Amino acid sequence: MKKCVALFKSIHEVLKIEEILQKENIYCDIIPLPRDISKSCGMGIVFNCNDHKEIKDKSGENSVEIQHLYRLQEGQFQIMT
Amino acid sequence: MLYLDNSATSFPKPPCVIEAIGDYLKHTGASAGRAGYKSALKAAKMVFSCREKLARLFNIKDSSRVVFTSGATESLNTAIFGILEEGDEVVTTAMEHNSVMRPLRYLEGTKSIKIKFLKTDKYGGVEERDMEEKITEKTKLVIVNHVSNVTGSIVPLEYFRDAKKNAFLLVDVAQSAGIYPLDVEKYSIDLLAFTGHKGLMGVTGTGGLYVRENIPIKPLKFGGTGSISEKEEQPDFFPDRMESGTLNTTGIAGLNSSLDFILNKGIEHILSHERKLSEYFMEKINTVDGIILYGPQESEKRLAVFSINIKGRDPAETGFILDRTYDICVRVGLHCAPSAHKTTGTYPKGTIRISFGYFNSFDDIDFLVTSIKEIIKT
Repeated sequence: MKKCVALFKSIHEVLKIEEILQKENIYCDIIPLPRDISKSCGMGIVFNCNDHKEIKDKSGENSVEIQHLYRLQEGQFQIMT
Repeated sequence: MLYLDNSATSFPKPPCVIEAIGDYLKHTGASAGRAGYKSALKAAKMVFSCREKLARLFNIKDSSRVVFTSGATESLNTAIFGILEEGDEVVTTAMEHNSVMRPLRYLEGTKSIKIKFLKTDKYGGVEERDMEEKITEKTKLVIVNHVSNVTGSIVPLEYFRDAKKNAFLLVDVAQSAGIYPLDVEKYSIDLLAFTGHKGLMGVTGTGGLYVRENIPIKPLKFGGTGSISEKEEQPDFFPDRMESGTLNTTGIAGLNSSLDFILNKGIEHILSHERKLSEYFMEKINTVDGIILYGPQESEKRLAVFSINIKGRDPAETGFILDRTYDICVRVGLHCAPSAHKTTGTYPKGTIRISFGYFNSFDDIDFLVTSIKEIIKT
């Protein structure tokens, strides 16, 4: 599984998106983020990169704003555009 | 002991509340929203869950607009100090608690705010025409106590919704949350101040404030939020903007559990039980000679908060006998709302306040009324 990471402005939004994705049976896990990529609450969700579009859609539908998206490759966070 | 002071704080609490607090203290313990290890996340999820339940209870679309406070007093102070500025105009009623009156009087003295009081009848009722005249385009904030903590009378929120014009509507639901159906959309409520330890059956030190989107409000407190920690400026997003400092996670664990209890029972069921208690109490107390009962006689116009007096007796003396002889807990005197007592004609001696809760029964009322009858005879 290729892992991607989404960042949100608050822990409230992280927990909200986690709850939404769990209801939709979309895998995600809450993880602490390295300081150099974390400009927000210090937490984010890790998910299967294949679900990337669906997660963007679910965030938009539920007024949860993804601040940044990263692809996790060989331990490095690569920003997604 | 017969506890009849549920307007001060509800007692007993549902057993699940005590279990949830014990479980949090024994097995979780961590601060919410400050770290990513498992127990900190568990605490954060519990706080999130509590916020979602409150949003469901009050029909709030976005739970991030519910911020936790230490109780209704802090919620009301946050709303009043966060919104009012120099020279602003406020419309309110004479039935407000001192948690509204004192911040307003302070701002009247220091920021020259103008306070307009609506005409209030002896039951705490307001006139629609008076509201239409007093609430103008200049009014910034309208504040109303939904249910009087002195008489138990319910104020029709639709009057305020229809008359508020451009003003923000702040509703104090300290006495009604958890007992009466509340809906911020139905009544166009902009700010809803509640406490967690009365009708919501949680513990003291919990409460909250709902703030509608796009309302300019300053926080009462500034400080650490666990978010954007690299910045020294307060976050501009909710709930973080309004929640500086470590939350009362222990108390919120209890509130989270009491909300499950309430949502499972259903507000309509709880209200129906209170109304039955109110009707039974009024039926019994009205047959006792020498009793003055304040507030509405119709159960649908009130909640189960009653102020009474015994003619020719000081309420403090009666309260003392009820406690020492009969082990009945009631509150006597002035109930933190001097203008409400002046309105009901019970100033300065006050009243005997009897406030029933979800766990009271008709047997409790029989014992209370029998005790009052005995006191009158002696």
